[in-house]
Amino acid sequence: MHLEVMNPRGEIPPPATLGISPRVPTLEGRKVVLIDNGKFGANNFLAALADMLTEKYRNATPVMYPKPAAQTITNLPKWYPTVKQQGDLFVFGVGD
Amino acid sequence: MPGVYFITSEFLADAKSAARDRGMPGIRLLTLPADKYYRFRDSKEELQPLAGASFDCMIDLLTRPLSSEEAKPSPIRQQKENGEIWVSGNDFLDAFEKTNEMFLANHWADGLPIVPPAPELVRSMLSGTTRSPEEVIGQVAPKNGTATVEKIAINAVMAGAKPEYFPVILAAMEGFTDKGYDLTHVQASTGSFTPVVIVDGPIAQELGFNSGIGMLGHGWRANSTVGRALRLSLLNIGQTWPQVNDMALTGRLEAYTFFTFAEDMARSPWEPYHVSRGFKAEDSTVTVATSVNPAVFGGGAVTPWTGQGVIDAIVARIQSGGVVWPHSQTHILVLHPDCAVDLAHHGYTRRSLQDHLYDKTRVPYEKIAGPVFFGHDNEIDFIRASVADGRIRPGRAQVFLDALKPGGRIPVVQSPDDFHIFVAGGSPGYDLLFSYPGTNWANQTKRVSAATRTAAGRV
Repeated sequence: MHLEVMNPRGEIPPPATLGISPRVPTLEGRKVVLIDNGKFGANNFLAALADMLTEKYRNATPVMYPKPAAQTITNLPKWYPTVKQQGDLFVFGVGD
Repeated sequence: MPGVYFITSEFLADAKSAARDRGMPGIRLLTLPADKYYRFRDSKEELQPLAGASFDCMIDLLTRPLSSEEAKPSPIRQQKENGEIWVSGNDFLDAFEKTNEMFLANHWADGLPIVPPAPELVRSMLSGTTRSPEEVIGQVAPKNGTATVEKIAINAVMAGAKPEYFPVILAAMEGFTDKGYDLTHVQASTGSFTPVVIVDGPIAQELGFNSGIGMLGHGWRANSTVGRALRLSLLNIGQTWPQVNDMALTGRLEAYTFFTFAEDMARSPWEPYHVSRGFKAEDSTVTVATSVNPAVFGGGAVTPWTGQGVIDAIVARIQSGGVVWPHSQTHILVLHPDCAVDLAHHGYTRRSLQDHLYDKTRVPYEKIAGPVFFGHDNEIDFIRASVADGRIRPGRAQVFLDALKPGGRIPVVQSPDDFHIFVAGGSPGYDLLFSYPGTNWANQTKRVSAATRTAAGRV
């Protein structure tokens, strides 16, 4: 016998696709924004990366820039644009 | 701005899913081994080996030129979720089993057998409301799926709900999809948060919701299937799945039915909750909220208790949480009727009890001038940041700023209204505290309407 059933899933409006930003040729002379997502340990990991950055790229500047609140994953329209003002490229961590 | 995202290995599928949801499938990710990261993250020194092992790869991801697909990714095509689905079997039992196998394999079910959503059953469910099947109730996180009345009806059939329950289910889905409700957090978080669903008004009794002994348990079709209909709706319409984009580490508590029950308005010494929120007594409402596992208070049938003793214990519990987190913390108290009567006998109204809880749970400034807190130097800075970026409501901001000094006492919630008090349970009974130290708001009350099969909820 044949049983007809209906699909329970919601239609998802497809998002507009965006390419990622072009890369930099080198980190020399660049400000690297290290975004701490607020989860425990992220600051320690990013601090370890910051040490390595300054050791290997003497003219690179790590900039520690924490998110305002750890779990606020939605609607930070005012904050995210300020990341661009801090430097030339970013490293975000650590999820989760 | 070019960048790279560090994630732990267990979150790779989640990160890719989230990136695709936001139209950026090409973001560059770098994984850290989860079994090492979480064990050795107490200090920079402990994490140096992991940082060292990933450094060159990080540099590569920041400097290697983009591929053509990364620079201009192919459009994400809409996956159609309609159309006929036919399941063939040797007989009904075979077709029923194959339907269940297919639904679970597709991640369309919760692991328990479902009622196959045949078109005639969905039409029957839709007859429980005057609302159009095409009406859009809202968008369901995390994948922004469109919740139409029909899609919710399909999930309600799967759950075994009756058509007369459907208006309650729709009202709850209005709450979950309200822009003021952070549905993403409860759908996706590693914390095992779970929704609480509480029905008020005359429809609760008319539909036979349990509000007495056993109200959080099994045995009442209204409690169980309304909760399950919501569970399946959020799972299917929001398109979540454990270990993919629902990262609850131990699973969500009451995963199949949520905490679904009704307030016992008849035995409450106070006005019903929905009336305290401005609804009319003849209205029926559904309150949805997010919570951790409830804490239990009182002596039940075992030891003596007093209403004041229960409240004092609740205050101590909230204070021991150690986190002020005032921008969105909410608490739901569910007092069993005898406890509420005892409190009322000693002069408490719902309002005065809220004020009492607000005052007594405030945390001394000296206790929060502590260590690094979620990316801030301390909790004081975190609260100031919450004020600055508007997560503390403007009308309440000054209360917190004034308390951020020696001798000050900082509230744990933005206002006394963030203590939500319901009366439910039996005699004897326990008292429950559902708490949410959340990120954004996750508490909504919506009116039941457009019902066709009940006297309540028609208008």
